[in-house]
Amino acid sequence: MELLHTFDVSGLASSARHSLTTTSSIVFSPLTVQAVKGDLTGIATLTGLSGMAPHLMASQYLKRATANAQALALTGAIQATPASADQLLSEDIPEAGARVSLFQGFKASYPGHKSGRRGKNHQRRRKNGFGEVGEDDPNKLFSSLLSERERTIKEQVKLQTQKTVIQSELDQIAASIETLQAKQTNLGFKLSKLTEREDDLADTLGDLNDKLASISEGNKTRDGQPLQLEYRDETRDSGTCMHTFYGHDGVVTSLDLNGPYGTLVTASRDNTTRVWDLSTFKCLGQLPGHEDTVECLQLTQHTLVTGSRDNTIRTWNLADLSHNQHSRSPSPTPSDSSYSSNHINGKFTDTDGDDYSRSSREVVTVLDNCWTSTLSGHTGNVTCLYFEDDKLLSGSNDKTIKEWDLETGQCVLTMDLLWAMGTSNSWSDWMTEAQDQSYVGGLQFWQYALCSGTIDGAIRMWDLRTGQSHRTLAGHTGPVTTLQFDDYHVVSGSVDRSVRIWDLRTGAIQEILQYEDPVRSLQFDTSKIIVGSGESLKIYDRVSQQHSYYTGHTNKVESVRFNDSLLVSGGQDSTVRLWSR
Amino acid sequence: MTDNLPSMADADSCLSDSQLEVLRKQYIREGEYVTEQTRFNYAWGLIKSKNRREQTQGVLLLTDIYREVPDRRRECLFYLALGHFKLGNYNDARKFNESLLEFEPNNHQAHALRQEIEDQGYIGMAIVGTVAAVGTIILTSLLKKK
Repeated sequence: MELLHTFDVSGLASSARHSLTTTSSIVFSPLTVQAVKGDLTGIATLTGLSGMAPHLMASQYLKRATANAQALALTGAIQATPASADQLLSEDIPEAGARVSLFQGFKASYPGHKSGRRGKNHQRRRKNGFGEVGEDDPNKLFSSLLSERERTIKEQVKLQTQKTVIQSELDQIAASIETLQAKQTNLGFKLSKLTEREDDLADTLGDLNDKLASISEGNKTRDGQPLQLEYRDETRDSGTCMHTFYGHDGVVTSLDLNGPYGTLVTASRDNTTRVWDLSTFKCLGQLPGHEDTVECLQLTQHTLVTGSRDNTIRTWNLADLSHNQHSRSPSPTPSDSSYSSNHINGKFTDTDGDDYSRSSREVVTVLDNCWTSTLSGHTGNVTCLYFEDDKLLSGSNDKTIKEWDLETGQCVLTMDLLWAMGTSNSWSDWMTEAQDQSYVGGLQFWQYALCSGTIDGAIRMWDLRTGQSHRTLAGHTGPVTTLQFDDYHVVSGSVDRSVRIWDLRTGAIQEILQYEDPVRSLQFDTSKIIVGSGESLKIYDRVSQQHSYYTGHTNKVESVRFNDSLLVSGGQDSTVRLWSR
Repeated sequence: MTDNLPSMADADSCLSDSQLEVLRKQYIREGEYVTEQTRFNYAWGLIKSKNRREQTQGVLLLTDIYREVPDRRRECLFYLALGHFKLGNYNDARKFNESLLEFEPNNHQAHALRQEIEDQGYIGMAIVGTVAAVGTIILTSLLKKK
């Protein structure tokens, strides 16, 4: 019945020109009421023309149409609605590839019907020919052989075209398989990312639930639960701040020490790098040379390497330090030694304020003889570095990681991060907001294995022999700011307020520690993880899975380091604090 | 190019019933993953037949191929034009043929087909003209009588 209605409408809409040509075609083609695809208007005029009861004609048409459809269904054609020529022509018609045409393929598969018959005749003739070979003249044999040769050649050509046809179909199928596989991997990756996000959300949800619960329950002490957590008010284990170093005028960006009674080197945004003696708590002096803030440094027994915002890396030799100190500086450094030795719970007293102001006026020695070499090559801030023996790896905001040979001072390998990141779809919304974050938050290497944490939240493992990244651990939802690994685990901290512990061999996440503030720095050993995030130092005991924290800093903690029994932290309050474990 | 497309005479030569049956069997046998060559073979066999029903089926099949295989569209233009021509849809036949000539202005067979379509058109016009003329004569005579 629906078909009937459409007819009437289309009939009304037909133009005079249409009706003229279609009338002629209808009148002079075998007069049937067949469903002629592509010319609905023709049928409409036919119903009008015939003058017979339109619905009768239409119903006949309907019957034939369904019969046709059934016939088509039998033959397997999937034709639901007839399409007009204009509609078809409006579709894109691409350039025909240089392949066997359909007709050639047709001829190859069915070379006709005529040549088959000819073949039979040929067979008979051949038989005759052979039987009468002695009597017929040799020309006949020759011509029959010639024609047979032609036939075989044609057969050959036919087979060739058949092969090409099938080959092209196979190629088409292979191409579509490839696209489907690519789609599959893409979606699989997306799925894994979403599950990660889901886990994180579940964690934060757990946090919020706990917070709500604890608020409603008041002061009940509870144990910190292992996964997902918040150190909370329980376990108030404030560590003792043994000493505070004043002297810097700006945020302490990084620090390192080489022994509980050795030297401590700290760098700050006031563009100075200071060396302190941990046995006397005195400032031994300042290291000149860098033109901008030092963002990262590492200290071994006597060698110090610093990376700075002026795009260079400098190496220093601190072996002769104590001598320099004695021979040169007359300046007393009252601030460091006298005060602040007895802070039990890290609270400031008024005297501290005085010291601080006095220290800024003190005269600090400039240690000129320590500088050994400068490594330049980066075109952006050097944000993190790690060295061992003669090999140094540095990451920079110019989106590369470079490997240097400390003996020659040359860069031996550059790894392009953009390229490595471009192959995975880990670009997310946070990247546009993270303008002030370091591109490479942390790195560490051991022999030929390098591990890097970058702004896209991914941790990549590289092989330094090939310079290629062979594995990516995805999971952080914010730029990675700090990273360390040992034989079994990789521990990374990020702006997304979590610390993740990964199993080094499988790459699976073992634990996620959730905090309230972005994690800026961490260090771990087999028994504990020290995390610098927010204003207090967070200690996570890996054995008992307990959290504790040390208060003392009045502003965010930027960097933490420990060595044996001594823990040092530097913060945005420009102080460097020593803690006992 | 001449080898790639059939001539008009070929389009009119009919396949025997058994041959068409063979093509049909192959088409059904290949089932869901039927190759485009098999589809074309069957469709072309259908179009060549004298039976109008089969011709329509063939055209429908070809339209399917046209829609589903973009690479073969240009060739299908010719076959669709031929098919519609045989069915009597001179309008559509002309449209398809013109489209093909746009892409390949030097195509023999397309030119030949265009000639045929126009001839049909003229014949049609001529007949309609005479019908109209006869019709008016009858009408005027009737009116005169009244």
